[in-house]
Amino acid sequence: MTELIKWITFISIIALALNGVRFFLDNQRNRLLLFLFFSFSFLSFQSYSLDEYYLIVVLYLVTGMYTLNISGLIASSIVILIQHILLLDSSWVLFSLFIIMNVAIYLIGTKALNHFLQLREWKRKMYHNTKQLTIMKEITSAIQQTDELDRLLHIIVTSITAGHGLGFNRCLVFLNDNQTGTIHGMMGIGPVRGKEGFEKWNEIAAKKYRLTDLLERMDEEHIDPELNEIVSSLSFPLETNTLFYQALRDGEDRLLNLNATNDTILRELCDYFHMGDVLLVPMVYQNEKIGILLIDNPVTHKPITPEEIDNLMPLALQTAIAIHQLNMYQNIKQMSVTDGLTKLKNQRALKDDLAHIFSEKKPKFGMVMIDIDHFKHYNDTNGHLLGNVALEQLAKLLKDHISNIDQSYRFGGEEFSLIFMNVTPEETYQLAENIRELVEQTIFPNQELQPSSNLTISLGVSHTDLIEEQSEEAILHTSDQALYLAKSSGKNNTVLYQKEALS
Amino acid sequence: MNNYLLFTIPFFLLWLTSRIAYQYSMTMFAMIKLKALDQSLNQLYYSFEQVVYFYNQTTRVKAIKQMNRKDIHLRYDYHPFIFTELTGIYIELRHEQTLTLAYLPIDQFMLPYLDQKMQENALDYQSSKRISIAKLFHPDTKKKLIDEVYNQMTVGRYS
Repeated sequence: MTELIKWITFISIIALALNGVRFFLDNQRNRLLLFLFFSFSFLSFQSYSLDEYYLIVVLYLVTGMYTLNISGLIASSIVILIQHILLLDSSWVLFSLFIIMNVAIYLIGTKALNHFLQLREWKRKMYHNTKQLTIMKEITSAIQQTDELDRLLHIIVTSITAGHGLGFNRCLVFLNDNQTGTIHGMMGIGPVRGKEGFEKWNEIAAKKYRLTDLLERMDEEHIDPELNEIVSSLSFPLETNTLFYQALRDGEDRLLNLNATNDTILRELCDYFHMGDVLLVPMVYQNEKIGILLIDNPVTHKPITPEEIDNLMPLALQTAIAIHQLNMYQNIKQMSVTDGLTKLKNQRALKDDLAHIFSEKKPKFGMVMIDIDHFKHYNDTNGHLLGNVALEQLAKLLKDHISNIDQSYRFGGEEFSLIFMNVTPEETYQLAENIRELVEQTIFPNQELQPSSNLTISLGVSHTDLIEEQSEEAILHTSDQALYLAKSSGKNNTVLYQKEALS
Repeated sequence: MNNYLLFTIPFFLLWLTSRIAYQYSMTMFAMIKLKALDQSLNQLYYSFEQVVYFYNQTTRVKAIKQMNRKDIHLRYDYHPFIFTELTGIYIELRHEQTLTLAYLPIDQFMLPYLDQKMQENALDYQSSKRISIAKLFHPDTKKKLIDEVYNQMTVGRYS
């Protein structure tokens, strides 16, 4: 008993010492060290009553299998055999039992190991799928909260690059313009050069930015200005021999090494952004070629795995659908405020704009109502088709002769409206008069058939300084009153509204 | 007492002390490595970006909606038995029942400084992983992880 206690104490001290050092070693050395420890414990155990001995043999074989797998099992078997030959009588029965025990331990050990590996794989898959689901849920939620393209693209590229999202180092977005056959750089997130990425990542980690913080930062400051300056300046013709076009045509992603490609677009991008391995993901929805996502890891240089691409594809589709719907929404929105014939803003847009201007503090602007003189006669004489041509020509003239901050509208029929921002009443009158003169000098088709042998306009001018009640109704009403006076006082005339006397 | 049981004492001792020895070894290893790099464990920036949540702020689970921060606990997920190795951290709500709120796999715990050093070949993957693990054992990191999960669950990511 005393011998046993001595042995237990001695081996326990070794076990504790072993635990103190073995985790400093790598996994293989740690396992080897433990195998040697078990071997030493086995060989130093001095009590050889048979039942105890057989139990220890079994345990030693199990630890051999556990520490070094099949190699450990074989090594422990050899140790046992040598010891048996040296110290005990040989017996075929015992030897047969020993072999059976080895096989059983091997089979059970392998099964247990496979089971353990399978559990680990399941856990890994569950982690990835849960993460993927969470990302999709969050991105969908964020996308639904925006109707602006820039914001939408920012959500997408942030989600692709942020650690909360898919965790790629850099993402560039290119959108296809079907009308011009070109593809434009829209936005990007990531460093221009790999090394800068660590600085940014350190900053994000230090400040503990969350995905929402990164998304909000767009409102505060422009993200990655150097990268975005380059990206937004890029525009490429979408020729059929380019990989961009081919990816959009077949809808297939491509993992490429840009150093080994001759593609003109990609070569140029490689020069700008020092790209190596890059993933090209087309965004296609119902055969509509929306654009391209270009993704790479210039900071960590981690290879892009098939699993990561699988995770990315639903996001690319989601992006394509969102951009498609946003385009449709923008088109419909645009149509609802645009006059179909002249492409000027319509009366609804005028009222919206006036409401917006009057919601600001102390608005100051001039308003001009325009009516084409004898337009019924023009239509009756020349037909409505030529009447439309005259309306389009006048609309273009108005649009071309106002500044960027001013607005032009087709009020309805042959009536047009103009808003001149930040001008005095007198300046508004002068601008209106200039336009009247310009129209008078412009040649319209068949204008010689008009009563005055010319197509002319009458204009009524009002201004926020001239009206008491600062409202949309007041400015529309007063400019309309002035127009009425211009019409009734001989046409081809400009009248400035004044409360007491109209001149 | 039967000797069969007595001679297993050292092996149980080896097993039972392996986790504490592992934590100690990881911390010591990290301190030595970081000192050589003129860096310290306290100064390493990290991110919990890769924590995966099994519930979110909009959950209808009453226990989560009414949870207190003090009821959130960490449970370290180890490779079993004597070859102890941290594989991740479960973040659990322990009140009337235990609910796993989130999980952080150790491979995904990100420290930019370590990645940068690996890029510069100043650190290998295993050393970087051990330092990450040591950082996760740091009391301040544990507290911040609980805070992070509590905030995500109560305030929400897109709030």
